[in-house]
Amino acid sequence: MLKISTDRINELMDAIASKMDLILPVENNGQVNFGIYESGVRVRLDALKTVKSAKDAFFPQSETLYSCSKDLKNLSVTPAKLMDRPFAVFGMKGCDIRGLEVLDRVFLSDPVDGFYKARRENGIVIGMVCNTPWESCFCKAFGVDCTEPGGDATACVVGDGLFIEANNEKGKAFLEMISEVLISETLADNCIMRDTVETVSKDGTEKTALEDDKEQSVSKDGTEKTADADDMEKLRAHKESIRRITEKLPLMSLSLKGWGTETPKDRFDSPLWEKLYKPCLACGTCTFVCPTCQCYDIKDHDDGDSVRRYRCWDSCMYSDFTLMAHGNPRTSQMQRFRQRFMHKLVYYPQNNDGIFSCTGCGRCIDKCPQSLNIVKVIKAFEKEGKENV
Amino acid sequence: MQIGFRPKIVAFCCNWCSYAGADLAGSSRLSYPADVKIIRVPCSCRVNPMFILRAFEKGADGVIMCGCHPGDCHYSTGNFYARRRMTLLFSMLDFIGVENGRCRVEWVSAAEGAKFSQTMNEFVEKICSLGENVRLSNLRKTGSQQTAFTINTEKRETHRLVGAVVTDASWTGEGSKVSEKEENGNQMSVVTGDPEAGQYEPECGSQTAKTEESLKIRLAQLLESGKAARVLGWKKGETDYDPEPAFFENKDELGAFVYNDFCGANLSKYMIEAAGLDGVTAVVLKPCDTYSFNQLMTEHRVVREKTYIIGVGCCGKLSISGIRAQGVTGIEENGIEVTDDRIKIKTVYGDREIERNSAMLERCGVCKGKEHRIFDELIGESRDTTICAGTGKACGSAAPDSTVSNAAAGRENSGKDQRFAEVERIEKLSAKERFEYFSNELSRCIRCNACRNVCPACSCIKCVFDGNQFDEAAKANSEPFEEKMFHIIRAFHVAGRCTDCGECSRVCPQNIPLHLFNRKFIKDINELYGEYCAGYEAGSVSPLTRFTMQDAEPSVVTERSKGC
Repeated sequence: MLKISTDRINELMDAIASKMDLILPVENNGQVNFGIYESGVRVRLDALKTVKSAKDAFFPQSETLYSCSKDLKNLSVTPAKLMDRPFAVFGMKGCDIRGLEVLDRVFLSDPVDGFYKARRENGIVIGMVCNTPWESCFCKAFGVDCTEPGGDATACVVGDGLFIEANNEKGKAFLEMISEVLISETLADNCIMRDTVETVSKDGTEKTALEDDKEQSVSKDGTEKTADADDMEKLRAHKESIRRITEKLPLMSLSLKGWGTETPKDRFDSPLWEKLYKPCLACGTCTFVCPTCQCYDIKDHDDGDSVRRYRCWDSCMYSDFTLMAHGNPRTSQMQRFRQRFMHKLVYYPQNNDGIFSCTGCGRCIDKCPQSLNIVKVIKAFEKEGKENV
Repeated sequence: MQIGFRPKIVAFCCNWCSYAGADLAGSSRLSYPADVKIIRVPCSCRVNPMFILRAFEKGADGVIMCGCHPGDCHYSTGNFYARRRMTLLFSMLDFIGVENGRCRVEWVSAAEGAKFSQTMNEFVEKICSLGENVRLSNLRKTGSQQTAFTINTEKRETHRLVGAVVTDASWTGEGSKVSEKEENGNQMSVVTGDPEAGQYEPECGSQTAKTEESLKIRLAQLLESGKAARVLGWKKGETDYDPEPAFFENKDELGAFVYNDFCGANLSKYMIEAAGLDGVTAVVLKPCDTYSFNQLMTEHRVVREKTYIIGVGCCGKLSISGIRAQGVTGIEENGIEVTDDRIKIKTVYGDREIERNSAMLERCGVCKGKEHRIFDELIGESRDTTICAGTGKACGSAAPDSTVSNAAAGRENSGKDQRFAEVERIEKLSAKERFEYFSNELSRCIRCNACRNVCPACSCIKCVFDGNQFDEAAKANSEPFEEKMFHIIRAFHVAGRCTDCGECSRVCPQNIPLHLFNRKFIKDINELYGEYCAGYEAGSVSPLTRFTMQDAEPSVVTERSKGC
């Protein structure tokens, strides 16, 4: 576990950025989105929800697949370079990390998507405990615990301290590397690996430690132990208090009964869809802010002397979704609207061991121009079910 | 002049005058630079603003359009329309910071071979002095590689990043600790914290609830009497603040009808769909929504005979994102109470209270007026919601002691000033600053197309951007140029028809102040062609579909900016 005081987060970020590209929530005119850490950016680790999810870091909205260019009679095809350097995504919340797991099942199963795989292998995910869940959050309904977001490492802010704990080998290696940078920098005095130097303990404010070495350090210095135990206790209490808050939030108790593998066969034909879709504007907001929407389209961009083939996110809300040479199998907005929810709540779970492809991040609730969302759909069917009984 | 730089210049020439003029220049052995590539068009009126932007997109450094002299058009009036369009387009390009002079309009007759050659020589010289169209071509260059997180493959020069800031905003969930957040883009001019604000006419807190009751009773009557086959209104959502537009077909369904401070959605556009249904649709419209309805009537997209309009009072609508922007989260079920000038919110992190004005939609702060422009009956009262620039005070409270008429006059003026204040602020910036401002704002665009789909003026059955004919998909944010072009062209397509209902800015998930494009066009139209308010009355003729012989030439844009 690494601990650093919150007023020194800049130094921590600089340390990470010295080793690899760092992607984290940054603010642009009031809107927080994941963006690259570079000079002049306004970092907002305290923001709970970014407008878009962190999906972009692994599956960008638009990406070039290959480009062709013509030189006299020679035609050359240059495939786009796969991600080959490590990068870190800091501050992904539990819902977004679950979103990655959903994407993994799509892009990493046969046939494997090389672009996604390369990003996934090179990307280090540092999850972050949600400090102030919103009323639009309902991750708990999908089994996501926002206090245990997962990822390669998990960060948590308690009081004036930021704790980062590794969850696997990748995370451990990452933390070790960052600690080394912190030591070699001017922070050497007060940010040192626990097992290396004993003098650390004299400075009670900042310290780094690997959990493995805990016992060792304890035997060396008694005061450390209490501080450490204190921290762990604080962390535990903090998470507990967040969990209690989530219990109070109105949407967390959403029931998914009747969805997933147990969905009745006639739900597809339910007349309810005709009513539910009515206000839908057919914009793509819900799909573009969603951490799990994975449909994409492939297009060519003619630059005059070269052609660039790229893929971009598609949205089932658009009239050209699944448009083929013969026409479109979905001809009305109702069908497209239904597709979105059937995919999230029925088709995906049926093909993926009952896992829903909604993570309860609530972005569609926050962003739908006409206040439609997955919760309303789920509740409408729940209500209908009760009336039918 | 840059040495070795040869500009790429596209010239759109009208078949009847300018193209013949170019021919004459050739046969008279008058030279003009080979950098000019002529595209022949049947009439200058054929030149779509998109042609000009596409030319820039594909790498043009300058675009010139030539047509017959005003009055000499082969088709009588084509170039008069072209003149208005180009004037507005050039003004918009100037507004977003594209250098002045990169595009130009010149009238060249078939007899003016010498003028053609001279014009082209001058224009090429001008473009050479401006140099390569770096601002726009930079957009293209980054475009080919752009992904949301383009990772720089160049070696990092330094890893100490100066200027990166971690904000000191609250880390914990205690509501009281949440410090005052900066006003975000959309509420730019709304300043909170003035205790004197809110001396309004009707008491809105209690009134909205009363209005809802009266509406419900009246709508039920309409349905039962068969006067209306259905009702278009708002349906209660999971919470107070997420009502959704809905059709109600019987009295039972009306139980879920809601009218509260969060019913911001403009229902006029749904009336296009209702026009195709059997029977009369009763629709509930707020004052500003009636402008959109009028405009749709003008365009024959809705059927008046099949509509029963209930004009509903409006006290200014609130935006939940405006509330959240002030650090309010964890709102409890039914935890929002709106009074005349305050919003009391119960959250799991403690109770909060904010100024009502601070969470109001941008458009309400610059309200067009309390008057319904078209209705069959009225229910409920409206109040003036305009907010005076700089003070954050409601204009209604500007002179509490003065007579009613004085206060009303004061409101008129301040509301009007306020509406274009932000446009004026941007106009005063330098071209480079304007370009940076819009590049930054539009960099957030995710091409969800919500602005277009919600817009009552965007009523095309199939949008030009939804075709397969372009290299860029309407859904891909792969080219920064494309985003700019989309928003400019969209604003242009609704210019003269936009009622400034502000739905585009309300729905933008990234809070881009899209209304600024529309307001810029409205402001230009008002200044150049006389005051015009789309939707003020049905059947009015849009300034872009009429003209006068004395209209300003497109060069007015260049002259105007010289004066600055």
